[in-house]
Amino acid sequence: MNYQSLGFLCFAAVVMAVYYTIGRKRQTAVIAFANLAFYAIVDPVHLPFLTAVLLGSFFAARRIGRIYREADQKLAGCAESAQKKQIRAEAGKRAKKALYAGMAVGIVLLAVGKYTAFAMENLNAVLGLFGLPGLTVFRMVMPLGISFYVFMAIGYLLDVYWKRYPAEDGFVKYAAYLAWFPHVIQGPIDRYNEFSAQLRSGVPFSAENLASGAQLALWGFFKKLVIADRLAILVNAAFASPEMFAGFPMIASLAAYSVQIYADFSGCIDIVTGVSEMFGIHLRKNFNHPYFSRSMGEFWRRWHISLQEWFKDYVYFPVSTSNFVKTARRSWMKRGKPRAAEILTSCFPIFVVWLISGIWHGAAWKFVIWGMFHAALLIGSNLLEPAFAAANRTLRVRTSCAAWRGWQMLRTFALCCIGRVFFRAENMAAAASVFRCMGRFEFTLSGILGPLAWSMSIENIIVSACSVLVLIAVDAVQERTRIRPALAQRGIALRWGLIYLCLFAVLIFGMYGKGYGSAFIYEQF
Amino acid sequence: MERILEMLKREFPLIDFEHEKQLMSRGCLDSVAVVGIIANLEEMFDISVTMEYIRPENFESVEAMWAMVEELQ
Repeated sequence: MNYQSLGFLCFAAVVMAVYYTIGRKRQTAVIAFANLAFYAIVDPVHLPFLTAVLLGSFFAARRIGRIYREADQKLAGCAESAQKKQIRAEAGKRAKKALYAGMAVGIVLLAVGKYTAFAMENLNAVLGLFGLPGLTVFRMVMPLGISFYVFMAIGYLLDVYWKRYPAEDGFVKYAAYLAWFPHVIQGPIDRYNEFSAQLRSGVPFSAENLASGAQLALWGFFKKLVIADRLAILVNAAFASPEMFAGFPMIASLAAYSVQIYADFSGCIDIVTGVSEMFGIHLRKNFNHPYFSRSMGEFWRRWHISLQEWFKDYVYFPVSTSNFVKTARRSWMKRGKPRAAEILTSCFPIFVVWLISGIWHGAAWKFVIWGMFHAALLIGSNLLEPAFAAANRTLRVRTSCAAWRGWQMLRTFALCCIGRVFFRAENMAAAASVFRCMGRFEFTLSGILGPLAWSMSIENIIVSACSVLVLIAVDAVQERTRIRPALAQRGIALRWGLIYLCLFAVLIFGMYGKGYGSAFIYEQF
Repeated sequence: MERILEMLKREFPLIDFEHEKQLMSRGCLDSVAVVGIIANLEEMFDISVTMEYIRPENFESVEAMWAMVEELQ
């Protein structure tokens, strides 16, 4: 029962019916129960993983909360500043222990569930260097959504530890958040305080929420079933036999993959955000038309926003303000090298973020290379920004003109496509093969069009091209205005006309049913 | 507060720190800029900006930054 299946919609409909009829006080309990039931259906074997992370983070955060409360009581009855300092230091130490214990549960289970085979393969490679026999690699199926719910649990623990909000005392409320069935498998990576605030006084039924959420989910189905799954035909063929797609067809397939992964992931997010809206719960925004970005920095502020913000708040800032970075900075400043100190402060945390981001995306070296590729681009663009600005001034480039903006978007898209080779290829050797094939151009009509026609029928090519144009047009409109509120103000004929158009496009051109369709790409992360 | 304003004007000459009160919400400052500001504040006032204080609202304006520095001093 994945998010694009009829089963998921039926499950959501049943839960919604109970949710709106049982009374506002019991809504949180309904959600918590539905969350565990959903996970027990989609991945019953790994339900203990989710349960352990839920219990571990909940009790650790509650302990941190209790330590802070006790410290506050002691501080209230204390006048001496030295004694106050000691109370704070002691509470900090005890809270840190609880934090580490809570985080360890999630990190250990994530490591076991996702990285065991990868670690053993690398260990065997090292043993092989010394002529020693390798161990039998233990491969286990990765628990669904573990990367997402472990990150949400860690974020919650750190927020409580940093006193951004108090720990939750009710387990049911916490379970309603962490295991929320629309976001537990592929995100967005929501924040506890934002999510729980919406459930605090219960959610009344709203026809507006229902209609708006259904529209968004329908658009998500269009992206996934009409665009992503159809483009997958071309992309799968190109990456299975790259030598057949030399030159232009390989570049076209790579561009198609970039559109496919966007339609697939943002389609899923639209479905889960739409379904959540129908429950009156608004999730974090995860995409902001990323392919209109004019730099890689901007791209990463518009793509998988909830993950980038998670990295910013829980990795980038802690590393930037760590003792290691501070000490190294001071040392360079003392040596009279302020530029080196500045570079260290700004670049080292970016490197750490992208190293972790690469590993988070998958247990393989290709993901590490992908992360390092983006770290290099971001660090390079930060360091070279003054040089680029000077070059633009010297060459008198009109940076505000449409042609320049278009060039910047194209350049960002191209860089993104290059990085995606590591993302999509089976391994590093396959990625190298794709790069080799991209550079082998054949300037004949059959060389250019042959592979595309061989892998896709003319009907598939037409439907793909038209649906991608629709996607670009909708994203372009959304760059200027919020499309759903704008649509709600228009006449009934236009509104329902567009909804029916989208619905029939999904029903007629969607890739679903027996033998069609595929799982969401980000499900594997 | 004047010292903070001076430092900000030197580091980010294109931003109007005197009048802008939503530096973070409006995207005038990004995370790299915030890290640079933290490093400067720590040096200028001999303080340590811990994670509890790294919140968008503490970097929205010069006044907010000064309030944070005063609390940390």
